[in-house]
Amino acid sequence: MAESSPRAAQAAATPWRRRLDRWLPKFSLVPSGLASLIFIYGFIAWTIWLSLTNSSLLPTNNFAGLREYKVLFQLDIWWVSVINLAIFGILYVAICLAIGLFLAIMLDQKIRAEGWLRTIYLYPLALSLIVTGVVWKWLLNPSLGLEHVVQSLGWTGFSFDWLVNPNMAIYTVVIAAVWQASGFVTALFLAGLRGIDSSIIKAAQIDGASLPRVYFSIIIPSLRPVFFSAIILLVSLAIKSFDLVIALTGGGPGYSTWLPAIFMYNFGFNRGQIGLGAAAATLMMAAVALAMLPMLIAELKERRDGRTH
Amino acid sequence: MRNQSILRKSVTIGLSVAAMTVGGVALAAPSKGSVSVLNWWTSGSEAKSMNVLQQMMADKGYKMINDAVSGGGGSNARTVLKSRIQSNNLPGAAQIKGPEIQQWCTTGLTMNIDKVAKQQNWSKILPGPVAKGMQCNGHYVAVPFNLHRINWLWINKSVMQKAGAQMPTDWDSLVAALKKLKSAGITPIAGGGDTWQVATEFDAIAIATGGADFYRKAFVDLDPSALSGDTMAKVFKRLRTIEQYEDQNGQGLSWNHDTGEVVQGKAAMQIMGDWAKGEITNDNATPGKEIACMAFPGEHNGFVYNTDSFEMFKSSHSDKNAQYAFARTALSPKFQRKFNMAKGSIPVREGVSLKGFDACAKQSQKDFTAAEKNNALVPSFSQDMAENGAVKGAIFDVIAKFYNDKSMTPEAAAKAMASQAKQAKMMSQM
Amino acid sequence: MAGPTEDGIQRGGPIARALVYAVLIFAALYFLMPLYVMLTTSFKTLPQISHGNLFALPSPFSTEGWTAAWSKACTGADCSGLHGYFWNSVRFTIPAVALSTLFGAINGYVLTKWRFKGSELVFGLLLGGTFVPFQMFLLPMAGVLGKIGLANSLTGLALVHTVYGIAFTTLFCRNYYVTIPDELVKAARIDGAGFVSTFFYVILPISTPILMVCVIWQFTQIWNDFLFGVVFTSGSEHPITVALNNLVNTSSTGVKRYNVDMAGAIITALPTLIVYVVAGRYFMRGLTAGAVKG
Repeated sequence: MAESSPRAAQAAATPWRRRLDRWLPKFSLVPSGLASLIFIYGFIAWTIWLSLTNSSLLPTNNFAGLREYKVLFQLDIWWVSVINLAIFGILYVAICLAIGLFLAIMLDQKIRAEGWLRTIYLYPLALSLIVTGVVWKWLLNPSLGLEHVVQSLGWTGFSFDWLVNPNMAIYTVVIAAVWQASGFVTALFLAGLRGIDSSIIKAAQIDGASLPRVYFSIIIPSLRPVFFSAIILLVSLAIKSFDLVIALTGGGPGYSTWLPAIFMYNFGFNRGQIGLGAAAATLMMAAVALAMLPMLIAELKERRDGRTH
Repeated sequence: MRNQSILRKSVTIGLSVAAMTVGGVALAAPSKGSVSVLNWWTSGSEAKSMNVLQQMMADKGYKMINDAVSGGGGSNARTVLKSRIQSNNLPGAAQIKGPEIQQWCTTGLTMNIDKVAKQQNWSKILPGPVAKGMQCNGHYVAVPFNLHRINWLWINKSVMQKAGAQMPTDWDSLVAALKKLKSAGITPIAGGGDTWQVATEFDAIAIATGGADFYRKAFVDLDPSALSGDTMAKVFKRLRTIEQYEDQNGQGLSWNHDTGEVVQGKAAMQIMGDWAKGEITNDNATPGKEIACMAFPGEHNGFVYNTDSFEMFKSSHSDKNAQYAFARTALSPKFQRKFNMAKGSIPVREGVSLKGFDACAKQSQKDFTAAEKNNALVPSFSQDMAENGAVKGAIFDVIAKFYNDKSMTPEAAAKAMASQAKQAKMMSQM
Repeated sequence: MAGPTEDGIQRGGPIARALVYAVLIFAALYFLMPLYVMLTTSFKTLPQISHGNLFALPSPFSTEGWTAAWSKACTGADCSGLHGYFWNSVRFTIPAVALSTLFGAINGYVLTKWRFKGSELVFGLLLGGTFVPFQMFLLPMAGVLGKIGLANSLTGLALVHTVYGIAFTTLFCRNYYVTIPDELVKAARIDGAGFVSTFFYVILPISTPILMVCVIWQFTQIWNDFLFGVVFTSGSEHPITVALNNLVNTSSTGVKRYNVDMAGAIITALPTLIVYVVAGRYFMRGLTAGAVKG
């Protein structure tokens, strides 16, 4: 440690300053820490409390036990929302990772105009979903968009009607959401690839490994931290996918594309059932925590073990 | 408080500056007080009408702060209202309709406007059910703006002719016409979009099939036997028939798109409220001429109405006199004429000339008077007029499920409607 | 077949390379398709939109949608288009981006270079902010803002965005600072630099790439936010996204003008689009420099 060095002892001759340096770092975390305690964890606690009350039009403090949860579990529309989040979340994250990684590897092959391509892949993130959802609605609508165009080109047998099919509509949400974020994931992976020492690849090639093999056995495993960051960002985007669904399907056909975020907004604010909305929010946060915690803990532990000096 | 008033001042100044730079809507300096009005009319004829109202108030020396938030049939505006209440920053008036008016009244935050009602003699100039809907414990708390009719059927006459189909007069002749249209290769009915649209169709079918008494029993009283009975099953059955004559690819497209299909002759009919007229004229057709309007046909006549209204709140940020002036101006014959002509509805009060309104509006007025006499006037459940948000939502869910799940029988749907509506009612009553 | 390139890595022959280009161009078309539809629609007339093919080029070419969206269309309180709301967005986005980035940098610095017992836990707690569904936080937030007198103000909105942005900026900065050798900080301390001066003279000067990432990410997120903007501001103080929504989401009884909608959407997105086109290179550089490394 620094204290053992004679020069450090000399530099730290002023004790107030050493004390300051012990407290200042922690002190400088206080604003952020306090903000998240109040605005995240405090609000989560309040939400959990509301879910135990019979709040309807406005929040109240009338304790009602687990009444809201009982009702919630009986609602078909809630289960549809939960299953949709599972389908959407898993596919969205997985496909974004796959496309991102694939395009990044392609872009990493010394491509001309790479800058242009990257910008083209990235721009969807800059657009607000309020309107891009509408555009996707047109593109995916059988009588206006792709199906219509392909059929008018002569392939009359072509059919793509997922948007209007209650069993398939959630997948159209995945298509549009992947469009928005996969370019960003591509950039993340490309950055990760650029950080890899090319001499390792050369060495492996000299040893006779083919390029795909080098990618699978050397490069991709070393991108683990990129996967971590990408998953965190994608999961957080998936949870907040609200504007897109509203603009693309409006939750329909029927309520076949509802997600928990839509459930809580709709029940909490529109239908005047705040208690029920809070119960839905509580369960959703619990589910996300359960899904993410193991990964977070493993990752943080890995880093600490691997990096402490 | 102090901070808020500074804030308010800066908002006021900002608004006036904005208004002045706009030029067209330059406002007189506020002198007699201001009222902030939360609403979801942000575009087209509605926004322009609100600007007319703003100007009319300004002429009398009051300032109306138009606080508009659109989206999802008012769902964003509802969210904003609740968060304003949480932050103790209530609007002077907020767009609220149907039983939600009485629901808000229980919070003790609403303001009594009996004074204006007395001045303008509301109990006489407003239709009975509408006047009742604006009251809470015998006091007026809200002001109505208009009367829309929901149970309309819009028909492209030339398309009917081309297909050799007869104009329908009852359910059977409607089905016969639909069949003819389909075999002629024309989409019989444009529609089948989101649940709100399907529920609007359900509204029209319900009144035509069961009549006003049935409608009231089911959707206003939530009578379990009416909700789950044979008549309701019949209504569901007819919805299934309608669904089979709709373009399956139309799902998710907005009602405007569907109206356009009818005007352009790609489809023959649409079941929609009278706001469809705006889209018809926009597409260079005349309602009542190329596009016929008739009450949705069935065994019964009736008038399913929808009234937009604004509820007053005790607000430290708005002046009482300005709130009164808002209510008074909204019901003035001059504004009623202007507003309703632009919006496709008819004036909600007596004593407004319909000169210059289109044929369908005149028809609407005639049917309304008849329905009022025959006790066949019912509040639309699909437009939030009959039940609060929780119950309406539950009914919508069942209709959505039935519409999209072809294996669900009409009987099962009717039963589900009764049980889910009951549960939602219980949940929303504290 | 395969020949080494200048970096010495073998990358396959001309057929393989043609295939790679084909894939990349196909992907580019997929990404561009919605933009193409938006652009062409924005220059069409209404009859052409409702009667014509989605992919057809505008004819006649009309800028009506653009002028309406910029200076004529109704967005609620007034009918002067989107341009008045542009500055509102600038006014809260800039402070919120700056503050959340600053806090992220400080947090990242402390969490990597001044570790203490429990600092990993603090990091985990801060990360929690990335996973919460914000819809449910609207009411308590409104209550807090009302109590501190910031309800319905751009200042309040800036505060909200700062608070919920810290999680992301902390994540980015921490991941970057972890790759900076601890020796650098140690050397500074030996030379007598304290916590604050080390941050300003050692850490900040080498932070440009990651600060660019934070700024771009936060700028995109905050500029495009709709939910907080609609709830925590009102009337003429609305952000441009709320004005856009007011323009696009006609109430159930209005007439849809898709050319105006599309032009409005592009106008709203212009600042973020420009940021990506102009600063995209720095974004890449920042990511490469370590935003995504562990």
